[in-house]
This record gives sequence, structure tokens and C-alpha cells, in this order.
Amino acid sequence: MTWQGWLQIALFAAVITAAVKPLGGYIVANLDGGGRVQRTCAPIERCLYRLAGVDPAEEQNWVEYALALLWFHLAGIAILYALLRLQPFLPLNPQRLDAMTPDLALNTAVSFATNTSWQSYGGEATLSYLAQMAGIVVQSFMSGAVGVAVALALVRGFARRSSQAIGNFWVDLTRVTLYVLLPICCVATLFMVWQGVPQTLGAYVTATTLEGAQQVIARGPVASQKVIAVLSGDGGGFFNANSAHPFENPTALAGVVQMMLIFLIGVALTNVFGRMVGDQRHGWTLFAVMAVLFVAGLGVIYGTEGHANPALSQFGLDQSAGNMEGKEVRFGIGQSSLFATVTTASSDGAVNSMHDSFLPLSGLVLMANMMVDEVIVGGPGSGLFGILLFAIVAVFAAGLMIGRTPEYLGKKIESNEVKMTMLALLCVSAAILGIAAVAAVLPDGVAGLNNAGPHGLSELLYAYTSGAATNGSAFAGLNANAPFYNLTLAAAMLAGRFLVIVPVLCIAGTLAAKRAVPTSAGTLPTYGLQFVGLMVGTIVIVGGLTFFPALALGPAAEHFALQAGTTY
Amino acid sequence: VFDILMLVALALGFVGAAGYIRACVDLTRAPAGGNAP
Repeated sequence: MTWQGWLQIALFAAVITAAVKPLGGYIVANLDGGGRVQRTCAPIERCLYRLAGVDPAEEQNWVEYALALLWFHLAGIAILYALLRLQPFLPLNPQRLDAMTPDLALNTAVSFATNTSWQSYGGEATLSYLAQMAGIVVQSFMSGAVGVAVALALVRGFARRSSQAIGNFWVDLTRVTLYVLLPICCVATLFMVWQGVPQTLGAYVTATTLEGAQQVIARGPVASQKVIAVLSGDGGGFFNANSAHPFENPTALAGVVQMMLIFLIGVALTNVFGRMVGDQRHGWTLFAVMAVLFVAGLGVIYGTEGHANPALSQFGLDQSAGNMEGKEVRFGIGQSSLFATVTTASSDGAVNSMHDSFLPLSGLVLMANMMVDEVIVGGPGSGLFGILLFAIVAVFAAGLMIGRTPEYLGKKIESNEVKMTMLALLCVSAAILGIAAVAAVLPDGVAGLNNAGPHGLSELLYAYTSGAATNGSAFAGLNANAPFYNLTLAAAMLAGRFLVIVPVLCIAGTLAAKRAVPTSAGTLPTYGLQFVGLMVGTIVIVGGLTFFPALALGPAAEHFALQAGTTY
Repeated sequence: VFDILMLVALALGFVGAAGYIRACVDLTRAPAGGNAP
């Protein structure tokens, strides 16, 4: 660990914290409040509604909202699947890349439509520029916007009184795209181009090396894709090496800005929540819960990676810099640890180091970050609705302790909300553990592993955790481009996204229909340090109880084996 | 053939999702138990 590393982490934390309030205010003003940007761009917005046949004044109940969302994603998956299968016959394919296999195309279409960006392929060797721009980038925008839309619908559920409506899906989708994602992307793309990220439709370049060999150097419209990938919580890489590739992440500054973009909308939405429910303390409380969990995870990872790998020490290797295996020398331990924590705490999945090479304890934290259901900032929107689910569990548990019907923000949390919350939380756990268990015993699943023992289990568990938590980062070491993994991971991603979103919208609907209950002496304060502690405890206990056995068999067992000199 | 199967699977997935929404609606209509104040 170095002072430069700590300074970098402190600067990152300071900028992110400083951005919460202004960006939250901007989002509320322009999505729900008739802000200046919204008023200026209103003609464009109206034109889009007219083209799509949408009446922006017509609000939807939760079932209508959910059906619109599902139709939208069904169409998105079908279009992306067709683009990937037909790319040899479509333009903007200067490298004449072949079509994806059907199972890989389905996996990729589902992956980007669900905001996961799990990639069983190397982008530069597989996708045409058209597939990258009209397929991957469009889905990055749309899946990010859908996450924010669902979060807004849930917040309206808390904020509204005796209402059947939770907003209009098409309006939310349009406004998030036009007023939040596009402006930030335009500015950040220019910044990335300035830092050295390529942005061209020209073909790959062939260079002659000093030894006289021919080397093909891949390039393309990288900057525009990279920015929306990190901003939308998508995280897919233009190149196979993702943010470890010098064209995708050319400087340390570019790396820090990418991490900020990953967290930006997720943290700002806590302030959006506070503003929309009329008390910003509730937003800051959720932000504090995220911060506590994030700092705890980062501390373990930075502390672990700052020390030598005992398996390499026996060979007399100089490990004074820490465990540098699988990490870019340009970024070192500090930025690699920070990036790994940021990408797994959010639902992003971009990587600048190989998580497979992190020491087992770090691997455990990386998995745990994803297993707690995207609540440590999470993806845009999905982080907010994820942590609100835990807030419902926390007030429910507190209500059980004192024998009162729990309340949150003046709304009684009754059996309907608790049933839907448990359904949403259990679906992700069941998808991760259930499908991973099947893969661990079937020959097709075991055939994809490159390591035996606990490390092999970690590779497998990480893959399904990443899929179901819609993260998309890879542990590496798993040969995932096989029909078995492509199809089962697609199932995990669909379950992790839509089996959660539907109950969340249902909660929004039932809450919006309720009247507010006046605060009394018996009301549990849902802001402040006490509630932060209650929520952190709930998240850790629920996550720990659910996943501890699997983590004990994987990274925890590997940690103790490594200390005893055994590697896998 | 696989492409057609994929499209059929997607359509079935949508039907399944609609059924899931219906199940959620039914769950929220089920009578609540308990007697907390």
C-alpha cells in the first residue's frame, strides 16, 4: 500500500461525494420537475413521443409499466440477436468478421439487454462496427435507462399518496436517455478521445514490428462505446482485455474518470430518492450504507493485494510492490484494487486487472460485493431499488422486534410488500446458487473449468454470480464460450434482471396506492446512524447467511490452502 | 433451425414473464395473515 494509492482513493471518494447533491438535483429537475434542459429539449421529446405514438400525459399502473418494459426488452433482445447473426451481410464490417454462433448470439443479446455485459467473446475479433454501435451501444443506453426508470417508479411509490399510477415507462426511458445519459456521454467521450482512446470507423491497422513480424492492431469506435459502458453500469469492453487494454484505458486519469462514471448516477440517485420523498436525510442514509460497505470491501482488497502472494514468495521473487500478478504495471495495486471494488460494488463489470489473479480473500470480497444484490451503489437505478428492498427488510425486521406493523417513509410495510421483497431477493440467490450447483456436477459445466479444487469452484461461482447480479465481470479461467455456459448464463441473467424488476414494480404499485401514516412516537426513525447500522447489519446477515457456505467452499477454503502452501 | 428455436424461446420467455406478473398480482391479492397493530 502506498500514499499515492490512498491519495487516489481519497480523491475518488471526495469527487463522488461532491457530485451526489448537484447531480441529484439536476436529475430530479429534468426528469420530473420541468428543469431548464428539459424545457429546452421539449420539442425533441415531443417529436419522439409523436413518432412512437406515446401520450406522455397518460400514466401507467404497475402492470402496464412492467408489460411495456418487457415488450421493450423482448424487441431489444430480438434485434440485437439478429444483428449478431447477420453481421457478415451488413455494412460497417471492414474486417469481414463472421456471424456469432446462435448460442453465443443469444447469450450476448441477453447480456446487454439485461445490463450485464457478460462477454463470452473477444470484441475486436468477433463484432463488426455496426454490431458494436447499433447493437451493443444502443442496449447499453437502453438497459441503463430502464434501470433508472424502474428506480424512479419505486420512488414514486413511496412519494405518492392513494395513486394507482407509478409514471409512464416510455416517458421515463426517453427522459433518462435524453437528459442524463446522452449529455454526460458526449462530454466524457470527447475527454476519452483527448486521453488517447480511438474513435474511428477505419479498418484495423497492420504494422511491422522491429523483428519484422506483421501485427494487426485493432481499433474502432472505442471511446463512444467505453463511456456509455461505464456510465450505464454495463461495462462491456470493445476489446477483450476491457479497461486493461491501453486503447480502452490509456492513462491513469482515464482510469479514474471511468471509475467515477461507473458510480456517478448510482450515488446521485440516492439524492434523487431523498428529494422525491421530501427529506434528503433519507437519501444520505442510503448513501452512508453504500459508503460503509464500499470502504469495508476496498479496505480488505487493498490490504490483501498490498501483501505478497505466499505461493510466489517461496521462489524468492521480489514482491515488495504487493501481489502484482494479473495487474497492469501502469495502474499498480492502488488503482487495480479500487477499480475491482468499484466494478463489483456497482453492476458495471469493466475490469482493469484479472480478478482470477487476486488473492483468495480479495476474490471472496469481489464475489460478496455482487452477491448482496447490487446494493453497494449498484447499477444506475438497480442499486437504488436493490438497497430499498433491503430497507424494507430492515424495517420489517425492526417491526417484528417491537411488535408493530413496520413503516417506511410514512407507508405501512405490509404482507404484500414483504412477499414481493423476499421474492425479488430470493430469485437472485436461487439463480446464482441453483444454476452454479447444477454446473458443478454436470460434465458440460466441469469441462469449462481450467482449475481444480476451491479455485475451480470460485471460477464457476463467480461466473453465475456475475450473471445473475447483472455485473458481467469475469473471474477468468473459465472457458465460457460453450453452449452449456452460454445458455445457462443467459438464464441466470434473465432471472437476475426481470424476476427482480417485476416484484419491484409491484411494490411501487402497492405503495403508491396507500395513504401516508402520520409519524408517531412509535415510528422507527429511518435516517441517521441507527438506521445505517440496522441496514448494514441486514445486508451483511442476509448476504452472509445465503452465500456463506458457497464462499467457504470456494475462496475461503483456497485462502487457508494457500497459507498451507497448496495451490490449484 | 437454432435461430427459429431462439425466437420461439424468446416468445415463450415473454409469455412466462407475463405469467410471472400475473402471479405477483395474485400474491398481492391473497389475504394477509397476522394481527400486528
